[in-house]
Amino acid sequence: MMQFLIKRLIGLLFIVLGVTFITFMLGYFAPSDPIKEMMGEHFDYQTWQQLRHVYGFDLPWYQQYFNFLTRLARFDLGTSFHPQQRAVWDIIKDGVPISVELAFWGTIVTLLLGVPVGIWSALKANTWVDTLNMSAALTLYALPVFILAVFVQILILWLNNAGISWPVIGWGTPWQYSWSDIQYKLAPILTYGAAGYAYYARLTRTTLLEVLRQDYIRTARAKGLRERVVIYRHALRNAIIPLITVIGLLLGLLVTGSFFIETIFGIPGVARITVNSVFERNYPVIQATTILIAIGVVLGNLIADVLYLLVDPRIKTE
Amino acid sequence: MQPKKKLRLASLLSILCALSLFIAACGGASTPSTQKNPAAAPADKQILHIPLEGGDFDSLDPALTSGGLGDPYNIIFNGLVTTQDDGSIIDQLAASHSVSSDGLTYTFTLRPNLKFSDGTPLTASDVAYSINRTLLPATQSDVRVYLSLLKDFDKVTSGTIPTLIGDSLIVKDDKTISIVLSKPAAYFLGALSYSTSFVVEKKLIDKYGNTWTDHLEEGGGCGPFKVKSYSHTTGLVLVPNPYYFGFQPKLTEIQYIIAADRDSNYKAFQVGQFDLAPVPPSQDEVAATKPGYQVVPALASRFIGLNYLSKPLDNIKIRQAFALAINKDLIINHIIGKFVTPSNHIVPKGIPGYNPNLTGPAGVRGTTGDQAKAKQLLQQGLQEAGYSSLSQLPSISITYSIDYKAGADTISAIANEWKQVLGISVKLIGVHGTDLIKQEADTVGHSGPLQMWYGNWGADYPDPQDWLTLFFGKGTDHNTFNYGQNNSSDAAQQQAVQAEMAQADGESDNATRIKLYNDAEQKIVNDVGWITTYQSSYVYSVNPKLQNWRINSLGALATEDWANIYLAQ
Repeated sequence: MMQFLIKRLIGLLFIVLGVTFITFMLGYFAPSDPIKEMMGEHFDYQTWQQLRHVYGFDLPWYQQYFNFLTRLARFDLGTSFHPQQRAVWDIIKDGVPISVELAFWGTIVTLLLGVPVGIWSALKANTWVDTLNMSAALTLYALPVFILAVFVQILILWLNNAGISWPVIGWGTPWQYSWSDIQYKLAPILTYGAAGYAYYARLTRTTLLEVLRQDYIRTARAKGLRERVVIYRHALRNAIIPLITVIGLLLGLLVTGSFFIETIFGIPGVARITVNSVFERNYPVIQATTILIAIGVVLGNLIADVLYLLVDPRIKTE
Repeated sequence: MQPKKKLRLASLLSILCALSLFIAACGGASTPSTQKNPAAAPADKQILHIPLEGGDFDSLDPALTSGGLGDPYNIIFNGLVTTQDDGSIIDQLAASHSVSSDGLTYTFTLRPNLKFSDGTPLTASDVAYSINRTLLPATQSDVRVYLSLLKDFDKVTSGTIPTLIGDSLIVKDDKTISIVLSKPAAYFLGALSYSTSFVVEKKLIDKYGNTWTDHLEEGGGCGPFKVKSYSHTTGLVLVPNPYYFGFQPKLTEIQYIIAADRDSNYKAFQVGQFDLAPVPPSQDEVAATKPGYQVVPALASRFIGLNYLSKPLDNIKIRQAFALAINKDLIINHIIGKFVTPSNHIVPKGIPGYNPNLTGPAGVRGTTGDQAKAKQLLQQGLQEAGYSSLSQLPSISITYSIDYKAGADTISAIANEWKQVLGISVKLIGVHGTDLIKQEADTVGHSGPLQMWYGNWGADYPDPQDWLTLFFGKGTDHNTFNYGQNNSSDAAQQQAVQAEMAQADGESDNATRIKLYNDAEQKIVNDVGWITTYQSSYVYSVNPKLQNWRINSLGALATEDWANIYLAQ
């Protein structure tokens, strides 16, 4: 197992290196001048030249990339263009706990809704309960998350008009749960959960139905085991394996997986920082968030693989 | 069954209540309170909540921000002079100032007993330090151009000399400082009122370096408010500064809250999360019927730029034809809305020196254009430029920002008018706003990349120089139109206008100065330097309990305004 982990972590290093190279080259060849864009209406040639020098844009591409890697090795992600002179690490560091908190609770809501609904539908397959569940799931799955978020905001407006005071935007204090914090966090978390639950409900239903048709389930029932034991101990345990893979992959996107929700609800997380930096051509921040996503995805895969090994002993590390 | 029935009845009643409240909230026009100076809410309720659209400040450092015209900068920090709501410049930290007879040296005497927000005395050396700091290469300010009038500006910004202190920033004693300019400029005080000249506390910058604005609760400013806390994820909280030389505010706290996009912020305003919010265009009609709705003409315009170095736009008659073919009233009223003002002016209304008698190109009055004259001018222009027919015209394109939908719609409608009136098909090129700004900079001195484009400008300070010399002056970085720097037969005449503007910039007699600018503006408009489409407006919804909060034409509130702002009961 240890050898497997070491191998994967070395692989992670090369993946991150590849991602930095691609991101750097995309930024380098992009038909725009970040310094001119940063200066905007206050452009003057002398200042432009000086700022280009300060940010190292007057160097050849390989030297710029080498400098970038050297800084990265020291965990220095460079300096942001917007806001000026703020270390990229400081910007990202502020956003990570917020995005992780949103994604953490959002994923819990997703699973708490999705898995039971999927099980219920599988057990009531082809009945009106199943049809209703899956129709609702499909509707939410088909609905773009930004529409859902705006719809939730309109619902909050109605609540306020009805005399129930509730905030429309904001996040409160990260990882704090006073009543005021909960008020801020509930709507974005539920939106996150509602947007994602449909996928899990459908996946759980499909995998569980497949397992329920297996011979060993028939055998278990023939042995006279209680239906509860058959479902939860024998069927669900096997049905959950594909779910683990998907959850593992989802972990990789924990930090940046909620672009629309953070933007619409005004949550200052990494996803929103990424969106803003793309609009502002703020390459140091774009590079940093891309590296973060790459690390997240690779680690997520690794976690999924490890969980797979734990849940299904038939799979070997080789 | 009975309890269930009661529950149903209660549910029905609550739904009806909710509906009635909703209808009441969304319903017809309400009359704003006419009561003057209503009683103030208790001190613990004097908390103003302001949304920060799009996120954190670009920087809280007054030497770095590009938003230094208003709050929070002008209430945390102060400068020697400040801009009032009517655009006039008055002394702020300075008790008085005088100008030498050659117009090159400005001497300021500071008010007595000035202090920073931590109680440290503020002297003329602090003023010199702050202005000099903005200009040092290490500060990396991209807005230092506001101080470009200072003697040896180029030398200190390029690092040729280490400091301007003792050179063009002369500290005579603790209360007196002289600033020496490279040329006489009547608009200097206007440029000096921008945040790049605000006084900052050296002690804090020495202690924390580039991150000093993260520690402003320890001091650093000298305005009527001081920082209580600042977080890059939640926002900024200000409280009154007990060491301020002037008024003590009625507000006990101002919270700048990091918020979302304009639509979401407006919804948050509606539920009481904020006390004010810009109104999204989609909500304007409804917002206008509610109390607290404010529309203020902005010192900002949108215009179509035309490059004199790009054929056939080097011909004045063809330029005039493009300008007069547009019915601005029709387009603006149908696309933008009635809260903006169609205009022919380069210098917008509200700037001292605004010329109410200005006429459009070829002497045409009004903003509906003159389509018959446009056709006539086009034919004359084609003849002058040696084109036998429209088909011989080189292709013409107009570039616009796709990030501003109403702007894109405006350009599409204008191109349609050009096609209908002049028979010219203009190619539309949509780019991102940031790319458009870059292309504008690249067009200076070149025939491209831009031929025509849809640009915009907002005043840095209320002076005609910021609209005329800045854009059409000789060799300026903003002369993207290549006015006076082209090969057309009108170039010599344009250069004479540039000389006239340069003369106005240094003229000390205000009446003469305004006259020179008015004349130059009329000549530039005749030559279609740019085609103004409209003068913008600031549209806000404000909590009806919020008293005396009214944004000025610069999109800001003067520092003194904050003395009277409070929340009523």
